[in-house]
Amino acid sequence: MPYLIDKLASESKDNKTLSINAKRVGLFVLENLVWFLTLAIFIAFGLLIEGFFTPNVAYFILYISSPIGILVLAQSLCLLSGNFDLSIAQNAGLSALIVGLIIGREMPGVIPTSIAIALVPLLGGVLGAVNGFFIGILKINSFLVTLSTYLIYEFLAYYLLTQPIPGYHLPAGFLALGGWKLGPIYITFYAFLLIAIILSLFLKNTAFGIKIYAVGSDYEIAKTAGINADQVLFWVYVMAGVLAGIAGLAYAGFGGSISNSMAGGEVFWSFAGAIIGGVSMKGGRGKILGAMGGALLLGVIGSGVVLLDITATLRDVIKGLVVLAAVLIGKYRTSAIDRLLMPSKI
Amino acid sequence: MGLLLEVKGIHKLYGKVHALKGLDLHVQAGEVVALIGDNGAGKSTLIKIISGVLPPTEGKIFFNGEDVNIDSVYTARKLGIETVHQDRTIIGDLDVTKNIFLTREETKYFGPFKILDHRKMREVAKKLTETLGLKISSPDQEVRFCSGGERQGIAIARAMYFKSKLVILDEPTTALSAKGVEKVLNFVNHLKEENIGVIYITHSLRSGYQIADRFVVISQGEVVANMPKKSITFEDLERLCITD
Repeated sequence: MPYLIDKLASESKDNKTLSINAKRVGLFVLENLVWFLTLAIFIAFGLLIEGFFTPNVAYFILYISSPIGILVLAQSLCLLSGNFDLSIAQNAGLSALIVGLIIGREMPGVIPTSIAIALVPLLGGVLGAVNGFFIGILKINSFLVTLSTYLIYEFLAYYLLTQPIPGYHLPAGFLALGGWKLGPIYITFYAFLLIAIILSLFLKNTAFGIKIYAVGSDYEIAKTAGINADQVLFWVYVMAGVLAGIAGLAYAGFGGSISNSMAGGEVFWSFAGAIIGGVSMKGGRGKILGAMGGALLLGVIGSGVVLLDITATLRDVIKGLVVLAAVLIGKYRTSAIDRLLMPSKI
Repeated sequence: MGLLLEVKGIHKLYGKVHALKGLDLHVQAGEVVALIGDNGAGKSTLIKIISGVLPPTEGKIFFNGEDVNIDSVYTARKLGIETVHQDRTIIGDLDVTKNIFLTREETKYFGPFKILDHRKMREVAKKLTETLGLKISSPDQEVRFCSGGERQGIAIARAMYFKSKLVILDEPTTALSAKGVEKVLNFVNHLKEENIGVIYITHSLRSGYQIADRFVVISQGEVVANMPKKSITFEDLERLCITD
């Protein structure tokens, strides 16, 4: 952000007609739009719903933001690299399901809980690597690849499991990430926060992080510059898969059982959160902090619609409207920032 | 001055099209060679071969006296051959600093982790852009907000900092304002001062004449003229290019 200010300061000298302060405020709001939106919607629900401004509701918002938040981060990673992952939620569901099936039904008591927990993100990484192999190494369009894996993972889950595995058939620790609390706040939220911090530091401070942005911004030029773009994409999908696995654990704990549709439908939310958070659909632009804000916004809306006295189907209509709004906001936000930053002289 | 690049008997066939027909070219350190020719003359093909984008069908390339096989852009860069092109070498969404250092970032250790040394890279970028007289408000500025001339400057800054030995400027003045052209010509002088060899590809004879030490005119895949600046006037060069 400091350069924005520099830029404006240098421009203001030769462009007196525009108020520098107005521009500065405008930029600040646009750059952090998602946080203002979250706050505004939070207040709006507070005015509509009695008892919304209570700590318990706040904790609930953090709780329901977290599993989807981890998926938003995974999706953001794919989007930053100039691709996306339609199978991300199915990956989450399937990796938790397979491990849950082993320890809860097929061979209970054989695998220690801690190893079972570690197996889920590992499996997620493997499922992600399948995407990464086809997209990065075989250079097949990410829409086609992840649409296929979406279907495969989705129906594999239905095939493997018809009756849900109840929580009491599983070792308690397996559901801890999504079900246990530390203080008044669920552990999932700390996990989400920790992942966001690590991911943000990773993208900002490592050469690999810059490569992801470079490949997402311009695949061909990145290759010309000597970046092994195919390898970068492969690892992006592996990382997204690992995050999906962690999210899978969170969803299992959230539901308190293993079912075949644990994170079903969440893929749309993962896009919505990332895009409202300012991650570009075209790749190469966006910040983890924004994606986090996007996830929290989803949490606020999610808890608001639950607490409003409306039918479940109407809730889904509202969800659809939110996704549409996300796309619109994403589009106008970017062009508005560009307009404010475009040098007034060339 | 020493012989930096020597291209010998390069042929390039695209299917049945004979794009380069046994072409020779050499560049000395600190020398600016203007490569002149119409569209389709074979300039871009030649440059793509030297910069590792395309393999030659036949012929040899010597760099610093050594027989080299430039099989990728990366190899070319490692040898010290840098191509400057406003659209093909710069990533718009990255800032000036990141573009200069892309794939060659400065790092430091933070405990066991190897992390980017943002401060150092930023300082270098700031100094480089100032040396080149680029009026970029900050090294943190994203390149998509830079003008064409500024983008060329960033690519040139990269070549200077990483001690490239040969810089290829591919149509650097296309789509530039008069001021931008002047800037680019200025950059070329900087490169010359650092004893870097330059291949300057252009079909703008005037800017080419102004800056080059030698002219190589290519037509239909062959060198039709190769002469030092002192032996030809601008008018003669113009005539040569038009009649051919």
